[in-house]
Amino acid sequence: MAVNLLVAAVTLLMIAFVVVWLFAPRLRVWMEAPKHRFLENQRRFPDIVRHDKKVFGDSDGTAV
Amino acid sequence: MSTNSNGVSGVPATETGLVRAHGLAALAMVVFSVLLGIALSLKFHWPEFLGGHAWLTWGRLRYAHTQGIFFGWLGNAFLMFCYHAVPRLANRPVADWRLGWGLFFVWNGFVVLSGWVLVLAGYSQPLEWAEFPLVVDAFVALAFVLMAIQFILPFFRTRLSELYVSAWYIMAAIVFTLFAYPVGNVVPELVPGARGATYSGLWIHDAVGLYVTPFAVAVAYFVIPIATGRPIFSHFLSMLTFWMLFFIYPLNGTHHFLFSAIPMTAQFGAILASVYLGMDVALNVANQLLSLRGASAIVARDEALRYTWLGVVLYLVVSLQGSLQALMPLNRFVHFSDWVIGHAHLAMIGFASFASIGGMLHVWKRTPGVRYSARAAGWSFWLLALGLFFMAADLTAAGLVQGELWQSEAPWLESVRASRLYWMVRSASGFLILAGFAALCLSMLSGPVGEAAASPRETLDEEALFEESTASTGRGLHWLQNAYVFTGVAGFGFFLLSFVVLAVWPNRALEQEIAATQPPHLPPLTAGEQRGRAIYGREGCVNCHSQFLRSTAGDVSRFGMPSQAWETEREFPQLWGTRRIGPDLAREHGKRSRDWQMTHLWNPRYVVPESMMPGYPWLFDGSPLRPTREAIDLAAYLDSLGRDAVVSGAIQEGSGRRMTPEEEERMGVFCDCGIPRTPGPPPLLDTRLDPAERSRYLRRGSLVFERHCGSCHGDSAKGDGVAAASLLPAPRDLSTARFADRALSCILWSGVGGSAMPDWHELPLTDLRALGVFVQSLTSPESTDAPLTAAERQESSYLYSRNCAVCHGASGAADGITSNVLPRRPTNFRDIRPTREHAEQALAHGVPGTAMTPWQDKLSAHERRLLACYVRTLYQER
Repeated sequence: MAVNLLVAAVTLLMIAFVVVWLFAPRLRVWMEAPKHRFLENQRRFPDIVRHDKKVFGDSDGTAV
Repeated sequence: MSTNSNGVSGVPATETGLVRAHGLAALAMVVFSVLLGIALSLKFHWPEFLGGHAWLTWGRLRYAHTQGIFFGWLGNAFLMFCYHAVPRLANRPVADWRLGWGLFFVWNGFVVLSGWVLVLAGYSQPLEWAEFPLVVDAFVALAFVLMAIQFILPFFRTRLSELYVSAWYIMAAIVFTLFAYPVGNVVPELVPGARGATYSGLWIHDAVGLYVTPFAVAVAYFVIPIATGRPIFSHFLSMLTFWMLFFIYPLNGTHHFLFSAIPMTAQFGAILASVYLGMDVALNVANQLLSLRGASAIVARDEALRYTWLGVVLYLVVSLQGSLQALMPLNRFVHFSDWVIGHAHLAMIGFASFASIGGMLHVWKRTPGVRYSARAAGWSFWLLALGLFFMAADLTAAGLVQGELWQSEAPWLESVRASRLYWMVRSASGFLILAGFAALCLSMLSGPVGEAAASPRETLDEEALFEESTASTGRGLHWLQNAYVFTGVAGFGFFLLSFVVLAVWPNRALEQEIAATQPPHLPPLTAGEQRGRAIYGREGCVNCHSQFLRSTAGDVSRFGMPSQAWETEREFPQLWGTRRIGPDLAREHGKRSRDWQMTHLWNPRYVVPESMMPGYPWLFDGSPLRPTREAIDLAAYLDSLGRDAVVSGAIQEGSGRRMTPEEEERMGVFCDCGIPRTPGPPPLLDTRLDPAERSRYLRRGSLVFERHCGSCHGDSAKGDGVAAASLLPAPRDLSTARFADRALSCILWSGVGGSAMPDWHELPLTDLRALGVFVQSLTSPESTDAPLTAAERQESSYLYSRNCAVCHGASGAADGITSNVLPRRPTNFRDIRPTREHAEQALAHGVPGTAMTPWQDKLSAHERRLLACYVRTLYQER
């Protein structure tokens, strides 16, 4: 019984997500928005620059 | 928005001091933890290494190693990542820098360092992934509360449309672990045996699955897009797999206890969940690898991304491996073996550590004022990858070898012997891993110092398009704004679900089963046995010896009746164990004499020459003949294991209260009725051989004797082995008696009750036969005694019947009226013929450790000589 419930629950969860994806394009865009906003936010943070000391041959003044 | 530490306005501040502190703490602790791991590995094939010291014994070091990796290494790495990532995910700084330093000292001082000292000093919990004692657990719970304040509060006003997947994972991991940790650490102390094991199983898996995994996945989703400059492939997929993970992962826990007394439906559910988990991880990894499409050049040159990429790949490998080994056919084969240890190391090094290092290097490179060496980072990657490859491949192969041997009739020691080379390779791979972490330290402590650039980068114009589209979408979905609601559901809601499905519900079924099957009026453990149990847990015996006989043919034929749920109903916590390096001890009762146990605890190699078990000399006062109370208590506890089943009669085939088939079906109990349970009667070892065959068997017998018997009987069979001094009765001088085939068969197959002589029915029959040939070669089959005169025969017969028959029986067959109640049965003179000298010696001075008392005060020398000759006439070679 519990096993059947588990299979049913996971299947319903998957179906719910797929239905949302297929039939709600506005929601689809909304769901993808965080990945763009995240990357946009990261670009606001300052770069780090390392000045070459040639100790171990690291690159010269490259921004990370 | 505050001005950050580099004077750039408009972005939230990053606590770079705490980033550095946790990063350096992580490095220090991983090096120490790996050194502990190497010491553990060396002890497998060099048991005397660091031996003799309680603080450095294998069991306690193992506790320190696993918890050091879990809290000291990964915990600090995750905290370091959170201090960098949370401001960037929430657009707000963490809650409070002072709280952060408080958390740092709680985590490293009160949890890790204190935990290490306590477990090495002998204060621990014998539970997988919960080894730190309860007092440390309280600080862990406090730390998670502080983490929740520090890292979840910043998201208070974050809208769901802004909540990136890494933030989901971070918050849900903290919330879930906040609840799951006390369950796994406290509940097994309150709920005994099989019922407690369901809670242990929940934590064993959730420690890795819902603490380590979410943070590692959060790192991957964070590092990949920043390093590549592109968003991940699909945020929708990442959300789907997030929800699947938190739903499915907690339900896996019982797959650590397959074939146990836990209801079979719970076991099936765990297996199914394990398979679903593999599918979920495959989707998750596909999403991450698709995010890296076309970015191989970046992976090659960016060490942080390279680590993250390999961590993601190994996440898939180890998860599919886990799904596979949760299936019953493979599980019955590899459970308890080094396959599982290989799996754990692949997960904790390959997935968790590699992803964490990727996050650490990513963060470190973006932290002003710290050094970074890309070359050293590159070296660390290859050293760690190589070391991990060798370790995982080696342990997986070792597990297959062990599993194969355990399914066969080979003696247990055969698996120990066969594993030795694999254990050496593991030690070598451990040094590679140590070198990799050393290079990692170098990468973060050397190289050029980084400084913040003058101005932030510009955003891309195309981002505005998404800004507009999400704004218009968001208007209709404003009710989904509160991020807390959903992550709270993921964290707490699924914890509650797993708690019910994995623990509460199976416990109800177990309670019914135990009520139906538990024999009444079982005696509890004595105070000494309780103390011994605590010592067993303290010394980490549970890490090498299971007390959990599964309903599999391999377990039953080797060890006996499967462990019933009621048998551990009074154990707080259960000591089922998840690894067998030594044999299972669930049916240990009555198998070994007390002096064998003492000698074995003093130095296992005294009685089992090829054992790699550590000795425990601190339980003694300088000698195995002078045990302290702790040794006595521990031996008493060991002898109590399985006693309830014997006392109640359940161990006998067909006796005792058994469940009806209807009850079994209703409770889903695995039917073990078809599995044979006893080794059967001894086969007759016929030592009649032609000369050529005899010569071959003699050579083989000599080797087997030296390997298995020499430590007690001495290499020349004179009863002067290294263990002899501490065994009572002492091992026999085998040259002082002639043994008939039937006597040898019985002794070798079943051992000698009331003595330290164990049974050897696990040895191949050819080896047993060879031993018989060897033992018989020590004496002559013919008697050289002068025949007794008629008067001597009459007198000796009279003396025998008056003084000896009450024990040895009228015909010398050891069937006297007292023979059945003596722990060590009297000698059967029809099967065993002592030399005349030995017989006279025994008559004069008795046999210490047996009921044979000295007779020199009761019988004259003449009478003793007559008796010695008389008993020798009773012998029948065939």
